[in-house]
Amino acid sequence: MFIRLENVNYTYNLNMPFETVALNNINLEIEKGEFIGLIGHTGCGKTTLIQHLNGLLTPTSGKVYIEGIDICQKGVNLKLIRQKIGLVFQYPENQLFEENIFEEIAFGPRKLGLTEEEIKKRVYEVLEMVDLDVSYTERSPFSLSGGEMRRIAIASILSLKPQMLVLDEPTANLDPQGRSKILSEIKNIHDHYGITILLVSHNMEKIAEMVERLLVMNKGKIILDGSPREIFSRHAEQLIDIGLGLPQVTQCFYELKKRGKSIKEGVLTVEEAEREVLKKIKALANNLQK
Amino acid sequence: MIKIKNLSHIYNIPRRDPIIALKEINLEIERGEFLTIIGSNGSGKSTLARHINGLLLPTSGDVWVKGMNTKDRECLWKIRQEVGMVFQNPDNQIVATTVEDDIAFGLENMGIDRENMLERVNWALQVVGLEEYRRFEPHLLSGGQKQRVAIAGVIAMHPSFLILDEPTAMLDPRGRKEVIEVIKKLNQEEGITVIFITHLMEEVIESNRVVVLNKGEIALNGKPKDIFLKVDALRSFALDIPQITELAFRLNHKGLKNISPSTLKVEEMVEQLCLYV
Repeated sequence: MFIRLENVNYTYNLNMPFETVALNNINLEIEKGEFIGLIGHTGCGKTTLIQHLNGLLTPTSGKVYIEGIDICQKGVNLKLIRQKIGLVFQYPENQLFEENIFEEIAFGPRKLGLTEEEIKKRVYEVLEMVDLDVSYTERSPFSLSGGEMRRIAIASILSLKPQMLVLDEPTANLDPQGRSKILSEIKNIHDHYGITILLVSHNMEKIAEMVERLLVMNKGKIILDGSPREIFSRHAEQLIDIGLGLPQVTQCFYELKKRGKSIKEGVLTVEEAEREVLKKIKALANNLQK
Repeated sequence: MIKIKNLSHIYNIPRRDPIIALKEINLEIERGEFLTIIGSNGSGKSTLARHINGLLLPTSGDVWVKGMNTKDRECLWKIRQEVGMVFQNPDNQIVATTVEDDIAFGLENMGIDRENMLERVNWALQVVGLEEYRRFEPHLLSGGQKQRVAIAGVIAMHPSFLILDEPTAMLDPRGRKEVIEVIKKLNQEEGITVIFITHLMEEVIESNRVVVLNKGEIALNGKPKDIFLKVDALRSFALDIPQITELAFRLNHKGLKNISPSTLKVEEMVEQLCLYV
């Protein structure tokens, strides 16, 4: 097991007037190579949870194991853990600071004490991973578009060669073009480089199409854990109840079903919905002929 | 009324090529309208918005608000009182330590007397539905609530026009819904003319008219229903088509003529599909 969280609880401002329980008895296992989505309302504990994955926060109670090692005990090399599990925060472009993109990406590898030769190699490697040209290295990170800045921020984390990448709302505030670009790169980083991905997002439609496993959080708990199809077909009602709702086409088919139509549930994409409707019409026409 | 005539704007950044942000824009906005301006990043949405209350002045062309030209310095303060503006990031717009103080901030600068001020603050709090939060510190509120505080602070000054520049971009779905509801109410119940800027197609549904900007020019201008018919054009402007509209468009093209290609809402789609399946 790559990551295991055991009965993890976390309370902000413990024993203070504004004491808030952010995580409530979280149990979670993540295997290497998974592509996981995490959804939930603001304030449900998503960000708190991911900060536990590389020891930025330590649980109020409970245990976090990374490759079998309890990372909360004394003497654990957290630096190494943070290199293994790279966290991309919300609005990571705010963290850019160097004068050119080469230096920006080289910052991490340089701290690792690599030689100039190796650093250069890594910078070029990760630029390719986020599909940016080598010509970018000379430019200032602040001359880029929002989407490109974000890709540079992701590249600088990739330069530490993490085994897992955790991204907190990587598409927030981007226009549709920038959003598709980032998401397709994240998919590529998973598919081609075998990096485990945990993606936090509000974009139900996109996440339903992309991930293999979906976690749903509500009020500090993981309430659902399964494939998007399973979750959107079997637990549609629950998702509506807690106000997260469903992707539009999923909701459309759910409503049809509720009206007594015999139609597939848990439809996730427009293509699939189109196919199902046409199939259904054909079947009805055939019945009529008989 | 707002009248924009042959408006062009060029950003001159030192040591860089000039950027033409707006090209010959002509637009009239009537009282009571709920107008949505939509476009991808860099299409000129925010630049256009900043011209309407004189934060930017035209490189060429003119902008009139209730007959006052934004180039006329004498009118500038009057124009800004008539045209309130709410920005994207709620955290950058909140100045005071409690919700009610923040809403009163603009009124204090206008020199409104205390009694009148209290009345206006109460009204604004009630319109945005934050009465029970009046003594809260703003940082304890959610993003959607903070954005509603920002809106309350602007409407307390009784503007005729309210411009909202991507007020939902940084919010989660719940916060989005809250803010859209408040905007709808301001337009329908309080009669404020709304100019709403977004890059999300889903959010244009409530408005009477949509202006699509592409590369600094008005590409489309019409009712949401008519705009949504132009799926291919919208896609070429790098805008996202909502899943339901995309599905309706495809099914219509497959010969399901009872499914309108400009279907915007899930409920509409369900009704139409019931005819077939």
